[in-house]
Amino acid sequence: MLNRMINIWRKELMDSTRDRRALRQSILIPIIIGAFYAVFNPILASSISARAQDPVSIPVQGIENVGQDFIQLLGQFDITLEPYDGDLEAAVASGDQEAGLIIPAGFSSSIESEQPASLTLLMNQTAGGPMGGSFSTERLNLAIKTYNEQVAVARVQQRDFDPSLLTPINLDARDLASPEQLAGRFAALMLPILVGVIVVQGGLFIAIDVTAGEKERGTLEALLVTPASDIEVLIGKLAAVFTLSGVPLVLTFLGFWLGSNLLPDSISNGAVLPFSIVIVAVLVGLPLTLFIDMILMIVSVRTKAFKDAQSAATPVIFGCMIPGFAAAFIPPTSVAAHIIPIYGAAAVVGGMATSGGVVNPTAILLSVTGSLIGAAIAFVIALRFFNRERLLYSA
Amino acid sequence: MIQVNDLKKHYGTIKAVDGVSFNCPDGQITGLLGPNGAGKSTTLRMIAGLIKPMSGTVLIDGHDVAADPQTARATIGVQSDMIGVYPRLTPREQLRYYGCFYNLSGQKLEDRVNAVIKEFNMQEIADRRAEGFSRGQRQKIVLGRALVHDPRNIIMDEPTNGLDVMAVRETRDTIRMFRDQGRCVLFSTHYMDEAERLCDHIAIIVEGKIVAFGTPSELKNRTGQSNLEDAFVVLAGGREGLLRSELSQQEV
Repeated sequence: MLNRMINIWRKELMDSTRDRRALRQSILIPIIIGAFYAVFNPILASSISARAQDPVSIPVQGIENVGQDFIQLLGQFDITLEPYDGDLEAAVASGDQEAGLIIPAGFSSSIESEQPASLTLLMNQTAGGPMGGSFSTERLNLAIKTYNEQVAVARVQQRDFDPSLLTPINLDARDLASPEQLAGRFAALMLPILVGVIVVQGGLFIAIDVTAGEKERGTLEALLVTPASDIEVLIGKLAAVFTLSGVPLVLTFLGFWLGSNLLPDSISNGAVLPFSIVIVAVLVGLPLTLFIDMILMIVSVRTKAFKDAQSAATPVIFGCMIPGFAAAFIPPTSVAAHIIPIYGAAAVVGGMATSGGVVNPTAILLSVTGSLIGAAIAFVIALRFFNRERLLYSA
Repeated sequence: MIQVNDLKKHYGTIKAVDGVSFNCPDGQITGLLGPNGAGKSTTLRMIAGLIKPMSGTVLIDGHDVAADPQTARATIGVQSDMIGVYPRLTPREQLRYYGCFYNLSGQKLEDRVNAVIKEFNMQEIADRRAEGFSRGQRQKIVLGRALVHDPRNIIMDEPTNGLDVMAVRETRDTIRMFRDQGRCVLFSTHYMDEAERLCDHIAIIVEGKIVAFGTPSELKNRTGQSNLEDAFVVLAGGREGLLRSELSQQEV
């Protein structure tokens, strides 16, 4: 029995690894996806971080209405005020300028006479790309808040009051994120999605090839007249699909980790993803792969040709990606939720990235259990379809 | 030896095979002759264990296909009407693959693979991937993989269908060779001349039933016809019988 299963497994591996299309689809594309995410992740982080520290130039109308103290304070925040002629509101609305400041006449005299002074801040958060305008306005807001505080403190001191009266709460905010956690900030968003994508992408082509592909080639009948039993055929083929989809899973996460860690410090800011994420991703990913492979085989075996199987498998692709997205954006509120196949595995990986590599054994165990239960149910269903008569004549 | 007894397979109201019985002795060629849709392929697939019959039995060298399918399948070599091969594997690799299913391994497997390659004159193509092989070359692989375990019983479903003249001659010579080697050969065809030239016995199947069984001479004598084609038309119920058979195939 074992010999026959190994025979089918070996042949399917040999057959599939000689197919460039299969290799490209199952090995190369997942690795490219992983590497892309790996490089994209720190570059995005680095770009956002760099952008937040870039000097900002704000176009302003009525610059003559502010005193040097205001301009100097903004300078401490790397904000330069640039006089602007023309329709500033239109320029900001059209996105030509990320933000603009309108300083009305009498601004300085109002400050000096301790009267309320007004400023108009124009902003367009869509200017300068997805995170463009927010960088300028956030810093400008912070600078003006600081100016307000300085003026208020000066006024209180003039009246011989203790300036600390203005600050009932002293907030001591410290960012304790480790380099691993910083690295995982974006990985927590990407890795759960990657889990869903990779498991389905890796197994899709091979699962179709060993089922619908065999029907289309006209070789299935020859296989089924051999003494191999239905279960031997199923397990032999499943083993091949699992092998060929497990390899890209391992390589992709390894590639992700390598990509994240080999980037220069100037891009990664010294943030590194812990290797334990790769180990856990593979640990929860392999049982999930088994489950997904089984579903792909059930779907494919009911069709007669490769293209039919590709169409039939499309809902499975989305069915795998959606829980990955869900885990990225809606992390589980209860550890029990990790038992949900795909979502649980994706959440485990996302959770590890967020925590900088802290392993949650219960979540891992639940995720593996959920995937294995799913795989067991799918196996029972698959056995119904891997019945000689159904295999040959169902579509 | 293949013994078929009262085999039935119905699809809804369509009686694809309806009480078929016949025996195929060793060292002889038995032809299953019938028009398209008569139930030839369904009968052969039930004998090969691919389709479960509703009732009836198939014994292959005494092994019941329903009760002990794996042993029964190990004693037959089947060449189906689909001559698909694995395009990315060489004929030698394909023969090894099929040989392994019959517990052949090591030197014994290699010896059988080499013997089949020689028997079907495949030396030149044995180590080339099968992508782009002609129909005749693929037919050799299909026959080879059916024979790699040296079965005593051979089942062939329309083996010369779609082949060119030379490939047809080669295939017919091969079928005769199987008989001369003492094997039991059962094959289906709708070519009358092929059945008359090759078969020791012919079972004529129409609308899922065996309407006649005998040697080609016996069938001609029984109908008073001088050639098998005319004898077949008479036994099949004339033109109306053949049309009914084709219609039932379309319904299946």
